[in-house]
Amino acid sequence: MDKVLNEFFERLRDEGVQSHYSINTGKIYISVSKNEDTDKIRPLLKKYRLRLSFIDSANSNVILENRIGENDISVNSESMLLTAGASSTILQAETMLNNEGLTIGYYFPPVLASESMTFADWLKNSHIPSLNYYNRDLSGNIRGIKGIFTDGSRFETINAPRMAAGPDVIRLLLLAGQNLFSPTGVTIRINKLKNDINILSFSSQKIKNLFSALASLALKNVRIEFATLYTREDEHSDPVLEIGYNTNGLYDFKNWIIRTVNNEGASLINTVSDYKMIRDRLAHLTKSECQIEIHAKYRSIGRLSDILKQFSQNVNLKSYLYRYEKGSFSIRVILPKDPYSQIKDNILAECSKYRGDIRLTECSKSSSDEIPLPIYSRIIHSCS
Amino acid sequence: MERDFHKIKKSFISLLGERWVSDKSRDITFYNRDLWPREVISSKFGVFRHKPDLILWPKDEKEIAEIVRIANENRLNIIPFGAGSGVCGATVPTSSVQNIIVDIKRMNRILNVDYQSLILDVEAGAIGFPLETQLNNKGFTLGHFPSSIYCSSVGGWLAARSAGQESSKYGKIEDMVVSLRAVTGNGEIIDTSDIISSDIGQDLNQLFIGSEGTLGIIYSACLNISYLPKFKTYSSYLFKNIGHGLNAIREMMQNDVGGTVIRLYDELDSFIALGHKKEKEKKENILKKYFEDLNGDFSDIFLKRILSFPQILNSLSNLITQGCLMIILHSGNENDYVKYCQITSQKIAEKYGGRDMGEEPAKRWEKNRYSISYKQPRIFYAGGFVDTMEIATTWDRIEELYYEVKKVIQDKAFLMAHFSHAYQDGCSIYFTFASRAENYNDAVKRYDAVWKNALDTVIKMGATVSHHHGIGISKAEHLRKQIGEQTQLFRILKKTFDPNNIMNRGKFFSEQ
Repeated sequence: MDKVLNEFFERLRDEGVQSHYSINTGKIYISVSKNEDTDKIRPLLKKYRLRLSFIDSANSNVILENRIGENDISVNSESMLLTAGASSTILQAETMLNNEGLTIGYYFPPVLASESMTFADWLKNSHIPSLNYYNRDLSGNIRGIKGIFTDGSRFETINAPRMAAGPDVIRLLLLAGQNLFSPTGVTIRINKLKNDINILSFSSQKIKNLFSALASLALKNVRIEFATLYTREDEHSDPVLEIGYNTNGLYDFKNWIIRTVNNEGASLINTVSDYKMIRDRLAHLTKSECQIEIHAKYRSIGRLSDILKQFSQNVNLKSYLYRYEKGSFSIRVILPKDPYSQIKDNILAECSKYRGDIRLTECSKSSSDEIPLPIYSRIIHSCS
Repeated sequence: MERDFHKIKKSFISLLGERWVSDKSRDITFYNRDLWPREVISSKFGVFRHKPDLILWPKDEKEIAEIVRIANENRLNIIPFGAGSGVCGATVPTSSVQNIIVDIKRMNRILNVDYQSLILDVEAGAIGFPLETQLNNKGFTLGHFPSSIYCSSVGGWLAARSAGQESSKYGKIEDMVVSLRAVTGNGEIIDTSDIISSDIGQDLNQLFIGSEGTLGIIYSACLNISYLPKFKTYSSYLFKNIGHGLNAIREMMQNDVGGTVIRLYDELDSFIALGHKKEKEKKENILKKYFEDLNGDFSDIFLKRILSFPQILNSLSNLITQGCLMIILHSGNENDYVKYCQITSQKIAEKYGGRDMGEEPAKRWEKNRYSISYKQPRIFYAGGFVDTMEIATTWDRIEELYYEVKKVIQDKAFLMAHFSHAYQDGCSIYFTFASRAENYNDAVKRYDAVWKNALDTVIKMGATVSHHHGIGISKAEHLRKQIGEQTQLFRILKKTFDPNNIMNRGKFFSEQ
């Protein structure tokens, strides 16, 4: 073992910190389950000029397994906030909240698919969008993060509804991820549980009309719970837009929704789904292979529809709404496996004619570690 | 050294033209501060602590990029400047190296309005009010109404994470940003619209917004706009105390009926607001006269007298038992929904004992919504000082925070407060405080003591030191205390975007 690492390891053992040295990898593995352990490690890291790693990579020689705050969940119902240990599962938290008439309620499709997903896992996928732009993505709902930096120091971001205290450090933490810190806890905004969600289904021969209806709902601030839009398995059936709205003794948005959608040329049809079906469908669709994501501003709805129509003439394209915001939305298109690359490149060529308004992303690049964006890479480099 | 700087100046002249480069004394004097009251006190007493060496007015991003290149080459300090309405000293040139102000006011055009996607593309030098007027003329609104709207710029809003009076409906400025363009400290031009957030999982805009010129110069942004609302309602309620009023706001926000504007005034602020109505009814009393004079027409001598005894004023204000005024504006384009929100909020107000005060207080607020800031110079002319402090925390701590901050500053300054910028999970408190001292040293000593006592308390209670004015110099020390180990996050951003530390040195955590 390296002399410095050896001394460091001996000191860890003197301090009673659970650790072991692997002869196979030549690395020290530390496991911490309480904050006091971290406080013992920090001065040693400083003394021996070492840094912690939270992922076992080629450059790391001291790897920390963080087991702090495994199952702590607390609810601040007055401020509508939930604070959870990073190892708690979303399901545990949601069950606890439901008992108090509350919910996380952001409608993130992939989250709904996994019952064992922890808050730490969720932080890694914090960009997964909501199907309600009012709620934003998860990173817009995180109010606080607790964690350990690579130098062993512990931190806790301030928990305030909004701040003007420099750049958004929570976004930076999420962006840099395990290159920078390991989470021990998170505080998120929560919502009231709305049991009475009704669903309205609309259809149109032209997908353009459904996109326009979605845009109209967003731009007119119609308060809906969620929206979903998809092409059906049966390619002869028209695509469907489904709107979930709350009827829990509050304002009845039904007529406003119907009027807005009808104005864009889509017709009300018998509701084909319930909430569980929508959730399961989205969870299923997000797992499909060979997906591309097309992000478009509302003004380019016509062009995007034309692109989809053009390619649908030759191959069976399935698409579904992935996110929508105030000025734009994105859909995911499931392409045939063969010839995936060729079709993708052709669609990309079409989209690039409208650069600035329509953008295509490959969904395989879901992990930020794989994305060679210069700015992202530089931020990660600056973390070291 | 001087010869070198003369050479640098010449290179800027050849880049921008002589007209757009200045070291004239009137410009140097004008740009030596923003509206940070501590610097206003200094000016009032004839103390000029800082001055820039040169002021530049570039016309486009290429010129900005070249300025940054020259600054990197010569290790200058660049201070981006919008309209100079900041109140925390973010543009005060404090660095020991040459300070170059880069004023972007020439870059004030609307580049495009996408009326289908409701996205405005605007240069950062655009001033708030003309911009809003142009959008209104087309039937749209940005929805950003800071009280500084006449004298603040888009760039300044973004740099300091500004909030407008209608934030309950439209959000803070950072909520409106679709993308932005900036020249970073290493001279690179970046456009965040090239990076879709789902590419990297995060919104890079949020790393630049609030950076107060320490990472680069934001020169344009795409912002969400909205349809101008056709329907509007006005409501006002009087609550027995702050606690009842805060409970009502919280419940309104958590039931999505908080409105476009929602503000709750403490007893003194309510007394002044409602006092105007009574004045018309000729029901004056001495106490009212004292407080109204602070807010309206007053003689300098009288003002000097009352500001010298803040403890007495604050004690008198504690005698006010009239209650706390809440004003609410609801607006939108679906009349039924606007009415529904108003009726529901009324039910909530009544649940907490709110007495209906009709439309008038809310309408009067709207009419005078920008005027309060322009009354402050009278206090400075009278030898006093006035400042505002905007802090925020979650609902479970908000009332206690208000009383604790009040407690630690009431012997040093006369103060009042209102609660605005409410969210589902918390709210901001906006304190206004005023005081005076006979000489410069005593004045800044008293001013600094007010801020120190207040912000120490804010940090102790786990709240944030700033909700929408930013950090600048005034809160930098307390921000450091607030975030502790997280200063390393700022160093990461600085290393990434401004490795030579040429952008607004000495601000946040960078070296002077």
